[in-house]
Amino acid sequence: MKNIIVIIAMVSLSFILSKITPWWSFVAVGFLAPFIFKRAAKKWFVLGSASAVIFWAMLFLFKSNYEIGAGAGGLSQLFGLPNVVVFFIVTLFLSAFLGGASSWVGNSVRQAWLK
Amino acid sequence: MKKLKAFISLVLLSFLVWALNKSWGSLPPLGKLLSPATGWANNLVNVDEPFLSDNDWGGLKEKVNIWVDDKWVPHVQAGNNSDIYFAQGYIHAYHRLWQMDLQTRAAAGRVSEVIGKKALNFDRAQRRKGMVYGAENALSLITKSEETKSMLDAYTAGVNEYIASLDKKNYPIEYKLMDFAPEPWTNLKTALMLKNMADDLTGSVDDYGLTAARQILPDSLMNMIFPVEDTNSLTVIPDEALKNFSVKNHHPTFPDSLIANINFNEPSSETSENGKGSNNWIIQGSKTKNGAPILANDPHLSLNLPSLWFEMQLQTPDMNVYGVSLPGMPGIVIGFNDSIAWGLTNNYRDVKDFYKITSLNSDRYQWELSSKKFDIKTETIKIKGAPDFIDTVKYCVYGPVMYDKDFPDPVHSGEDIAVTWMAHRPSNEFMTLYLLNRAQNYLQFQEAISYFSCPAQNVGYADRLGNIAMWCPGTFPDKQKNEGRFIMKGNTSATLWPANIPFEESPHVLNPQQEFLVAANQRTISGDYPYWIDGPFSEIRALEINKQLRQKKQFDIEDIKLMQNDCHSFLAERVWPAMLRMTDNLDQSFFPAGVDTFDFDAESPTAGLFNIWWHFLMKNIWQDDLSAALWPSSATTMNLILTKPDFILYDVKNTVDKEDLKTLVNLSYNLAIDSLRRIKGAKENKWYQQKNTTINHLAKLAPFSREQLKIGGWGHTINATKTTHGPSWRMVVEMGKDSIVAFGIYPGGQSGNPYSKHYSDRIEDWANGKYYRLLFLPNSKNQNHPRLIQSFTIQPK
Repeated sequence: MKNIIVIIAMVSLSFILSKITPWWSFVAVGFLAPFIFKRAAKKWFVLGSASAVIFWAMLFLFKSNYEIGAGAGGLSQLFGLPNVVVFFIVTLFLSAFLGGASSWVGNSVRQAWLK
Repeated sequence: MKKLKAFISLVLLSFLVWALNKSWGSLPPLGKLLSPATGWANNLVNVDEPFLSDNDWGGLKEKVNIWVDDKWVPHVQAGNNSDIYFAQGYIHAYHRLWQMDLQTRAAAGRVSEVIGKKALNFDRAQRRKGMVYGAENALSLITKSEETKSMLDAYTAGVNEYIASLDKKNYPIEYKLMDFAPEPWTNLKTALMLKNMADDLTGSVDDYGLTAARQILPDSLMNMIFPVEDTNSLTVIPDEALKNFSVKNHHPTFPDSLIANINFNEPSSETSENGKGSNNWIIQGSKTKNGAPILANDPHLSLNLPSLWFEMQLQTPDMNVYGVSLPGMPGIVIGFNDSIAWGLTNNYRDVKDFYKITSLNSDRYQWELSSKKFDIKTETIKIKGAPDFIDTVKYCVYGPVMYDKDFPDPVHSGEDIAVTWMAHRPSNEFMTLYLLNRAQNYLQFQEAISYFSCPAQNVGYADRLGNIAMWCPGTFPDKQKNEGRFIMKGNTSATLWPANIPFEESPHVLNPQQEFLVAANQRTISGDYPYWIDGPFSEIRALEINKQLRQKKQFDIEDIKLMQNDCHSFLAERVWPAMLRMTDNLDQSFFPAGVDTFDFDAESPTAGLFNIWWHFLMKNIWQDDLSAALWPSSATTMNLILTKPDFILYDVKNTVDKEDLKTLVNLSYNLAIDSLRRIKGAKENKWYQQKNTTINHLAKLAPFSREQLKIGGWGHTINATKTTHGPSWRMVVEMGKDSIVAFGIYPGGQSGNPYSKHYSDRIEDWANGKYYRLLFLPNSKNQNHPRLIQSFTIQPK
């Protein structure tokens, strides 16, 4: 349950900040979360990844009534990717990695200096 | 140790974010682009996308009404001139900002700023040909007129109003892919748009190629294959109009001693493009079924996405005009108002000349018996991801020294070559648009076009009183015969451009006896016109249009639409039977529809064979004699084949045998068949598959381009759709006393956003020869036409 609360908090904060801050604000949120919530070190990468993936997926879903498939198709062609599915996998993998890494690094910094 | 590990992890994470936030070479900033918060997903639009999203704009004086019809054409009504151009600027920017930005950067030689070093040579050429110099000169005149100054000021303010309202995440997708940001619009950018058009239509000239030919060929042959007065031409202005000209000039010939000698170390590539041009014809009411004049126009230009044109209607208390505008410029360029209609085709009269300059050192050049000092302009070219490049451009009495040792000319002659170009001279074409959009009769039309300088046009005219006319306005120096055909010596005032021909002496005709007028980039007027005329005119489409207009007694709008889409080749009809007669072993399997079809329809199985056969025949006739020079036009070659079977240049140089036309025709046929056999499936392929008409995205991004369009035509058919050029706007207008009936279409769509359904929604209909009825609304603050699907009332802030 606590994990879910942490994820909801991170996603909510990322969403609010995304309206006014640069694209990487969710990375900052992931980095700062371990300073606010106490979770086991090994869990932070997963929490950060899950939050970031949910956040990006949620933003994409908000646009689901738009022609998102066609839009992504154009970009996947531009980047030489075989299809839209691969494009979304790559995109979500990027967010998962950034989100996970940021929380893991945030936890490492907290443990190194504040513990 | 823990602290060190944490610190290193933090540095690596920061580096990763930084790396994803910037572009690397042609790779866009992936983090910014892929993030759904700021990236590409924000450019997606709903299927019922609104035409505009803001309802209050600063800078307006009064309320502006905008109605949008079912073809996404905005009908804009404003209470004053300032507001109408403000609104036009805002709407252009809303839908086409990136296109406007890139085109003006290209005109100014600033593409390297956004795509890096690969554009450096292009940017240097743009600066050396004096694009900004010309735009600044034009602006000096534009701002002297109250009307045009306020027109441009309002337009610029409208564009900037939109740019100021734009959030980064809403930048057009191309900005995100190329990682740059819009910059404020200026009047200079508007002036540059016109220079861009001048460069497209008059920038490519034959001076190098003709100079090479002159150095190779004796005068008699030169006159035969590059005739200065083409007697086969059906000129834009019929001979009956010659009586309009009072001055009798005897065209003294330009002395040969003033023509420069050039070393051609590379073939000349600086030539006009064959088959590029436009059609414009007008039929008098006496020759139409409804008794009203019909004007047809289809300008052939580069086929690009976002589309070149933006269709709209503009209404103020003194203006009600409909047509196509160029994003980046105020006003309607081609269209009609409640009284008159007009169309444009390019007038290929030569307005760009080259001069060989004798530089004495880096500061001075020889002039008469003394010397003159260059004006030096330093051009700083910013390059994305690299240090600035500093170029030094010298200006002399002729204009900029375009080519020198640092930037060699296309033939690597090693000479300093200066250019004089009409687009450098102060001019105010915006006054033409301002007055033309408001003109109510022939006299006002005439006054409007008197301001048009460069690129010179053939302007077709029809009005609701039943008049038709054609004018060929533009500013032209009163040159001697042959002056400016070749590269000239650049050390004497004898080669400076003389005074201009007065506007009143421009070729023109009103209500001709032949009941129609045709402008298809052919020669403007016959050699009896009292001024010297020369240029890379093209004759074949005009011959076909004239033929069809003479063949039939009466026309209606549907006939004209069919004509604009006609793919019959006048060239093939004339020359192909002769070629077939001379061919010894025809492979019938290449002619499934028979040998007597001369149509370049999309499905044609033989058009491809004819085209490649003709290509090889031209090459085999001309390459040995004119390797580094310009080749004669298709029309000239056609006439030679039909009338001069023993022409001396058919014999191929450096061979023991004496070749004749029949030998070359057979040789070319075998080469063409061999080529086609080597292409898999070529025999089965239809013409449209072979020519692959493609509408490229301006940045050549494949997903945003459209290729393999099923459309026929070629440069020598009325439907002049080539691979990347073609009818950029087809318009047919019947100017009835009681009503105006108009149709039009262009290849593309109103939106510049590749994710909008309005980005390319007209392409299929355009390729299929369909038209949309143009909704010309009465001049009113209230509209309730059933075709209107959205409306906006824009309030001043």
